[in-house]
Amino acid sequence: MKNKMKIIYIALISILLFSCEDLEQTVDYELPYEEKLVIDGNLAAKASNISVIVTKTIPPLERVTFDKVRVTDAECKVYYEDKVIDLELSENQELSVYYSREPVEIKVGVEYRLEVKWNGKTAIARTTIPKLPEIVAVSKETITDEYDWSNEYYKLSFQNEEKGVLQISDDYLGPNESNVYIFKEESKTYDVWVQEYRIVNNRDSVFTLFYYDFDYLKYYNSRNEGDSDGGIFGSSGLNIEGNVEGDEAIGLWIGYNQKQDTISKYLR
Amino acid sequence: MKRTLFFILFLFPALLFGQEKFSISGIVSDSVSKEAIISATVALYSDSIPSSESLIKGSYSNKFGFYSLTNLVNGEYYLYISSIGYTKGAYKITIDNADVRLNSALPSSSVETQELVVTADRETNTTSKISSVNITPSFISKMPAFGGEVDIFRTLQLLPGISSASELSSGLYVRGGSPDQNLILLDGVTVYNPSHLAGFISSFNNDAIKDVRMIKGAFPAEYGGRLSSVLDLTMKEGTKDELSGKAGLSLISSKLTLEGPINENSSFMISGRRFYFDLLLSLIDDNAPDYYFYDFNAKANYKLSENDVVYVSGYFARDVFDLEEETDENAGINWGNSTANIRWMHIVNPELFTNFSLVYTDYVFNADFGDSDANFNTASRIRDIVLKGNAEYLAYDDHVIKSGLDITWHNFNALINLDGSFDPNDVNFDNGKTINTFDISTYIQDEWSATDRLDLNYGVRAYYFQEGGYFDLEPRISATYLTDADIRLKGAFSVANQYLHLIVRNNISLPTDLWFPSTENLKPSRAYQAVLGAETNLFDDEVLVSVESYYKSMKNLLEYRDDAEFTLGVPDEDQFTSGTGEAYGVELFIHKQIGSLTGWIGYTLSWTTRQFDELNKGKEFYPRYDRRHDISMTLNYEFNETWELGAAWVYGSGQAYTLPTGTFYWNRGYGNDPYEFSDRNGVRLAAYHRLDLNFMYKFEAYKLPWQLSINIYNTYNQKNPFAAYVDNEYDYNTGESKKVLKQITLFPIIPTLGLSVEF
Repeated sequence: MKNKMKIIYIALISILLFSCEDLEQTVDYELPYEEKLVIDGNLAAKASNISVIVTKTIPPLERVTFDKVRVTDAECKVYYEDKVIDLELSENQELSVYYSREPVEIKVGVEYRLEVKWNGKTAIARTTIPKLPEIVAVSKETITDEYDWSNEYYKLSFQNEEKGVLQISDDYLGPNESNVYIFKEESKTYDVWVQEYRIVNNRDSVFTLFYYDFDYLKYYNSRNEGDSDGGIFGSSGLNIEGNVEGDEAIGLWIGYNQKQDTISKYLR
Repeated sequence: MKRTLFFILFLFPALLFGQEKFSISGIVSDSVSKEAIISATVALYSDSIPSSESLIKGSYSNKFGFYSLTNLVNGEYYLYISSIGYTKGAYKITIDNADVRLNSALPSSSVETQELVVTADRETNTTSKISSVNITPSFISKMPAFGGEVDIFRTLQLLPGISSASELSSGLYVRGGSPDQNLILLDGVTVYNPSHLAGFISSFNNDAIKDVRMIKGAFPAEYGGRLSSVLDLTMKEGTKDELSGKAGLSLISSKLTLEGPINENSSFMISGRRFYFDLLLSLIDDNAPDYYFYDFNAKANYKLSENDVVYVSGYFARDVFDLEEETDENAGINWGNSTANIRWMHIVNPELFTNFSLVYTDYVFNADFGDSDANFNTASRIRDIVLKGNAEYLAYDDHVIKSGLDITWHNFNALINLDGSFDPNDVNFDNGKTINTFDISTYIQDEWSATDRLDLNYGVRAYYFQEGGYFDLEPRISATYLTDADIRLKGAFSVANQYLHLIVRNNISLPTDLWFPSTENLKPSRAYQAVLGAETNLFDDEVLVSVESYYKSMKNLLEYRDDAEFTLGVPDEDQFTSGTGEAYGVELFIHKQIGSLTGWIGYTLSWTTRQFDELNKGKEFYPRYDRRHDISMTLNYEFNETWELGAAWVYGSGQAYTLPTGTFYWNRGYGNDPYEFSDRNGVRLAAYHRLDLNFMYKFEAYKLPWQLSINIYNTYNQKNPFAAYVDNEYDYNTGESKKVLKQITLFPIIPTLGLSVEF
C-alpha cells in the first residue's frame, strides 16, 4: 500500500514538474525600433585634427554590419571659441568617419561642441580637455593584504587643478580598463597606488597618464551595459551612458589629455 | 469655580434634555464557538416589524464583537442583530432606568449569502467601508489555489485595483503602489516581508484567519505608517465549544489547525503549515538543495470578567535553504518573521470601549556561504516593540469617536562576517551596523452619521519619527451620501506618510531586501489620495455594482540608483535616489452575492507613473506593474451538496518592461554589439491571461467531513510572459545564428490535488 501511494505521489509530482518544462520560448513579437544617431569621438590634447565616427542604430533583431550602420550624409561641425570646423566624410574607410581636413589646434580648457545633423535628428555633445594633474611625489610601499600576500606598490601623489578621470597604463597597451581614478574635487591631492609597469631597458618603469573630461565617468561606469542577456529576471535594461544630449542620439564625445613619464623621475 | 465649570460642561446638557439616558450594549458572538463576530449590523426599532420608519438607530460590532447603542430613554425596543452567514438575532428589550447588557450569540446559517462584503447595510456608518473589502476565509478557500495551497494574497489580487507584478510574486500592488506601501497587520501587529519562497506564497495560513479586511486607499485615521493600503487580518480566537480541528494535505504542503476551550473562560487556537519542497526535490535529485518553509500561528484568550478579555497571540514563519555540495562548499539562507502580541480588551462602560497592546515583531534574514577555508556570512534584522492603546467613545448619538496612541521602538541591524564563526540560528549583531529609532503616532476620528443619508468620517493622525526628527499631520476625511435612487455616492481624501521603506530591484522582492528607515537625507514618503465613487444594489440586493475612481500623488519615493552596487547588509544611503509618483484609475466591480452561483467581474483602467531625476534621464516612466486594463472574473457554483466549482479568469494588458529598441556598432566594446534599450519599462510585453479552476468534492468518511480539491492552474496552458530578452539562436540547418526575442514563461498548466478534513 505504501509503495502504491508513493508511485501515485511520484506520478503526480512528475506531472507537476514536467509541466514546468519549456520555460523559454522564441516569440514572434515585433520590438519597437527607434532610430538614433551614434557618436563616437575622442579629442586628444595637442592633436592636429579631429575625427568622429557617426553611425546609427538599427532594429534590435538585425545583425550589425558596417553597411547597415553607416551614415554618409551627415552635417558635422565642431564649434570652439568663435570658430567652426566642418568635418568631412572620410572616403577610404568602411565606417562613416568624419574628420577635419585642415589642421586644428586642440586646446586644453576650451569647450569643443560637436553638432551632427542627419535625417531630422540632431546630436549635440560638449567636452573640455582637463589640465593634467601634476605628480608631486612617488614612493615605493609594501602592502600586505588580508590573505598575507605582500605586494610592492608605487604610491603616486597627484595634485590636480581640474576634476577628471585618470587612467594609468604602460606605454604601449593604451588605457587600462581596469584602473581608473576619480578626481572629483578640484585642487586636491590624491594618492594612487600602482604596481610596477613595464621596465624599459631593464632600468626604469614607464607609464602613461590619460586624464579625461569628467563626463567620461558616466561612460566608464556603464561601459558593460547594453547587454540583453537572459536569465529568469531578464536583462538589466541599462544603457551605455555617454555625454550626447537629447533623445535622438547616443554616444561619447570626450576630450582627454595624456603624458608619458617614468617612475624614477619622481621616486624619493 | 471648577465645580461650576464641570456643571456647565457635563450636567447642564443633561438637565436641558430633562430625561435620563441609558444604553444597550454587548458582544456579538458565534453561538457555537463563542468567537466574536466582526462588523455585525445592530439595529434598534420601535416596532417588531423592522422598517425604515421604525428604525431608531443602528451600529455595528467592532473587531472584538462589541456594540453599543446609547442615549436611549425608558421604553420597549426591538433589537435586530445580523451578520453574513448567521441567522438574524431578534430581541425585545425593555429599558427601565438601567443600562441593558445584551450579549448576542448568533447561530450560523446555511443561507447562501455573500462572503465578500463591499458595503455595509444602511443602518451602519458606511464611510469606513470606502475602498474597503472584507473577505471571509471560507470564500478564499473556494478559490483556485496554486499547488492546492490556498493563498490570501492571490485571492486579493483578483479584486479590482489590486494587481500582481508577476506570477512569481504574491505581493499586493494596490492602486499603483508598491507592496511596501501596504500596511499588513495581523491582530494589530505589523508584519514585514509576509511571504515565503521569495514572495511566491504569502505567509498567512488561511485556516488560522477569521477575518480579512482590505482597504485599498484613503484609509481612515486609525491606520497609518503606509502610503497605499491596509490589509487587516484577524486571527481566530479558538472555539469555546469543544476541541476541533482541520487538517489539510496538498502536493506541496501539509497543515493542521486545532482549537478548543481551555476552561469556561478561555480558549485557544494553534495552526501550523509545513511546505515540503525538500522532499519533492529529493525524489528527483539526491544533491538537490534542502529548501522548505513553515509557519505557525497561535492565539489564546482569557475572559477575566464581562468587561475584560486578554488575548495572547503569536506568529512564527521561517524559510530555510541549505545547499551542501559534495565538495566542502556550502550555502545556507534562512529568513522569517516572528510576532507576539498581548492585548487587553476593556469595556470601561457602555460608552467607552478600550484595548491596549504590547507588541513585538522581528524579521530576520541571514545567509552563510563558503567552504572549509573561508566563510562569508551576512545577516540583517528589523525589530519593533510597540505599545498601543485605542479607545472608542460611543456616548453621542450618531457619532463613534475613535482615538489611539502608538509608541514604536525600531531596531535595524545588519552584519557582515568574513571570519567564518557564524551560527545562523544565533546571530550576534553586536559587531554590526545598528540604527535605533522610535516613532509616536496618535489619531482621533469621528464616524458621524450626519443625516439618514449622509455619513462622514473625519479625523487626523499625527506622527513623530525620531530619525530625522520628522513631525507630520495627516488629515483624513470621507463621506457617503445615499440618493433617492438608492445609489450611494462616495468620496474620500487622505494624506499619508511612510517612514520605513522596502527598496527592491526589478520590482521583485527578495528576502535580502531590507527595510530602511527615513533619515535626515532620506525624507519620508508622502501621498495625497482622493477617491470618488458610487454603488448600488440591484435585483433585490443580489447584485452589487460599484464604481470607484482614484487619484494618488506620491513624493519622496525611493529606488535604487542605476549604478548602485548590490550589497548585503545595511545598504549605503548613497545607493538610493528619490522621486515622485502618480497613480489614477477607475474600478468597476459587479458582484453577484446571493444564490448557488456567486462571483464577480472586476475591471480596472489605471495609470501609474514615476519620475526620478536620476533615473531614465529624468523622464517619467511606468513601473513594471503598471497595467492599463485589468479584468478579473470569479465564479463559485454549487452543483449540489457534493460538488462545487471555483473558477477565476484574469486578464491584464502587457506589463511595462525594458527591452532593446535598437542595436549599434561600438568600437570601444569588447563583446557583442550593444543594444540601446527603451526608456525604463518603455515597452509592453504581451497581455497576460489565465483561467484557474478548483473542483471541490465533499464526502464523508470515518464519520468526518472531507473535501477533495482538484486544482487546475492555467487551465488552457497560456504561455504568459514573465520576462523577455534578445538572444542569439544558432540554426543548425543553415549554420548561421540569428537574433530572436525570447520570452520566459513561469507556469504552464499545473494540475494539483488537495485533501482536507474537519474534526
